[in-house]
Amino acid sequence: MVTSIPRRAACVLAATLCGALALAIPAGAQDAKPALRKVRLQLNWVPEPEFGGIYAARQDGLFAAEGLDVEVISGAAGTPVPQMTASGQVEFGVVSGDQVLTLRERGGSLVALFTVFHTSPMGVMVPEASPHRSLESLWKSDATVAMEAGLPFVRYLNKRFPGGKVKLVPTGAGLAAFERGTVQAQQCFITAEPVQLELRKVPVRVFSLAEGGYDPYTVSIATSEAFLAKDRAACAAFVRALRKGWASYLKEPGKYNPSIHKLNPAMSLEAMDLAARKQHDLVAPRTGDEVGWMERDRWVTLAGQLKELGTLKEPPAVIDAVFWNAPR
Amino acid sequence: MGRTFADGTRALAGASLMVPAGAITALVGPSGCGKTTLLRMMGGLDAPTSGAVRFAGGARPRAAFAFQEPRLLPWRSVVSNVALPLELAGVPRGERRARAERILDRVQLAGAGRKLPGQLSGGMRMRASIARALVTEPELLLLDEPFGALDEITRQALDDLLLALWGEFGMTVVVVTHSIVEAAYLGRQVVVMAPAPGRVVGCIKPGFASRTPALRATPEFAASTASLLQMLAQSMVREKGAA
Amino acid sequence: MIARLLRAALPPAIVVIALVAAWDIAVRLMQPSEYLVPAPLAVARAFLEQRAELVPAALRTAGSAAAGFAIAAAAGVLAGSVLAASRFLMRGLYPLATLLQMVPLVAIAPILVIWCGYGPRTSVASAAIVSVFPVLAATLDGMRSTDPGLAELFGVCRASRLQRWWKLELPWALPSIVTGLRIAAGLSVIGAIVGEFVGAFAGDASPIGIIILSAMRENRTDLVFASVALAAAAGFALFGLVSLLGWALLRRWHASAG
Repeated sequence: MVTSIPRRAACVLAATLCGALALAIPAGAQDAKPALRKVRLQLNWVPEPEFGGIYAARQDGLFAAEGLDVEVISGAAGTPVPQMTASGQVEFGVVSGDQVLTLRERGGSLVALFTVFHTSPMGVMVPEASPHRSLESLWKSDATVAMEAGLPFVRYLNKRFPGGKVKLVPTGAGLAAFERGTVQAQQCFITAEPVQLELRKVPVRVFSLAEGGYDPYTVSIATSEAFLAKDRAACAAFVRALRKGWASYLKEPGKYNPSIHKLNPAMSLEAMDLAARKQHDLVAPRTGDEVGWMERDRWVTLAGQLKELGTLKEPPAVIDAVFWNAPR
Repeated sequence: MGRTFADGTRALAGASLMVPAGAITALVGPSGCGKTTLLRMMGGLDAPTSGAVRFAGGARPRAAFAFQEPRLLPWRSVVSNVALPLELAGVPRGERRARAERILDRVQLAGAGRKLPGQLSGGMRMRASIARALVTEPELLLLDEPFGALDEITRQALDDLLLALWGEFGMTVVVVTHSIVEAAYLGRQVVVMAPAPGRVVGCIKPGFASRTPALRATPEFAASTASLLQMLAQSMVREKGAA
Repeated sequence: MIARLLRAALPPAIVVIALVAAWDIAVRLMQPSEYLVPAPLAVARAFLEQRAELVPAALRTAGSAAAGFAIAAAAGVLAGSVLAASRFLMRGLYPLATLLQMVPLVAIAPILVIWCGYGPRTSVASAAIVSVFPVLAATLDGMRSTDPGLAELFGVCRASRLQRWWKLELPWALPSIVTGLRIAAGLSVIGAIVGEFVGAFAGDASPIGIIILSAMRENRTDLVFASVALAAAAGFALFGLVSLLGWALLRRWHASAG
């Protein structure tokens, strides 16, 4: 028996069926696509061009393309990034090369995955008018020098230029003491403090530490041994995204600096552009290598230097455990 | 010397009183009758809002107070406490110590000089307080219920001590007290006061030939205290009637 | 007297030993990495190995703390006396003083370096700043609670303001002041170290604050613990000295001593 369904009811039924179909299809399609892997990256400073590739990767959706949802957490002086990364509080962290080695000796196993600077940007700056024309001259004088306490390169310089009467003080007060002349020299990143001072019309002279013989991998991104073992694929994906991000940033920093400036208004856009230009040669690989690629020899050298300086009791038995280059 | 008062603060209304020099005057009355206020005005700690305190001979005499609490500085020894008024006045150390020791001897605290107030009994502390009042050899000694916190036996002993001291130094003494017995025993003139408003309601002059401890048992003494009591009671009744 | 001191030291000593034992057991059970929580023995070893550097450093810090404390004690008592003497001044200045105390020392420290320069002067200043308020508040409180009867006695004797302050108000406030001084003593070491974090000379004459900073940078958590323990000991020693002073001044006449 055929009962004629009232017209209105038929319309409602049809609409409902269409709606259900409309909802079902995308859901089905989504089920096929895997959810993004959530990871955290802890910086050891505020957002600056030294992290440019990271922000470029984020801006261009490169992390998402590799299946990662990366939360980038800003840091400050004193943020214990090595410990946070080694203990698993965050999956990835920005550390310096010496910290990877020293932490390992105290039971924290970090593995470096990527190094932003193939040549260390660390240096010591003096005002242009300073009588010191070399690190040696400075270190042998009785000048007051602002250095972060416990940095290995202080030991390095003390060893290289012994018998100095230089007075070391902490860097807590920022650039103020340097500008006033209370402090005659201050540690710096070649790409950061001198740039800011130049823009403030305060000319400086910078002594590069790399040229002085101490050249560890600086601004390295590391993960814990445990995480690498657990999710090697995520680490590889992360590194791939970083490489692409850095390549883009090196080509066109001006495209990405505005977003960094928004996160850190204290550094002007002009300063960021200048810094990006200055750091270019220290980041862009000299050979055909990828950005961030690490060489075994450099780690061996660093370990040897740290042992000589007394920071490490012994170099790590297996140097290869300390770093890992994701396959190209 | 004679002393004249007239009118007083809101605690005292229209109190008028003559205090004979060189004698002991007792002010007695219930709480709120203004006797303490009157005493303080005599000594210059308060000023009357109407009327005035006048002294025969014009100038205000050197006065010293002793209060119900001994008010000794707990961190100083007894002798140092007693010497305090002299110290504040700039008397050199040797002299003030000597004078303090002498006074302590008079109040029978000779051995207690080095002790701290915390180590003394209530009665001893009161004696030290009186000693301090006397160390400056005041012309006017004002005592505000000095023995009120002590037991009866101690109080009687201290009353006798006070009499002895007065006998020796001869200053004008004004004692404020709750105790009718004490007032009658000590005072050559006993002023009875009543509260609301504070005023003087009467005055008797118990004329005992001599004051010795035995006096307290005599019928004359009982008569004096009886008439004081009556005067007080009458003033209370009148007050109740007025209210 | 010695027996009494020993008896007094026994309960806290037992507590400390119990805590250290618990710490040791926890480390053995949970086996945390050395850079996170070192075992008590590791800390002790670090102390023994570096004692030639640590002990003089602790003494330097203690010296700065003590100097800052002394300044704060004098300034606090004087300022407290002034505020106690004038209701007007008190109403005007006391809220400001509390406000100053609220500003975190870490924020003021860089400014101190600019004013006092690098070196022990900054740590003395920061120790003083952190210690002054407890003394000021205690002095103010003690003086304002002066027994009015005694104050009247002094009035009757026509004492000068100075006599009143020196012979009545100050001794009267002393128990309260001693309490404030004890609090200040402990705080002064913290203040000195914060000052050192920003303005001390590193190198041969490092104070404890610098050693803590560089040990943290080098991931030597055992050394950090050892340094902190030493700094705590310095604070405790200062506290003990002040308590002893308080006992000596007050024991004869005040219940709070002894």
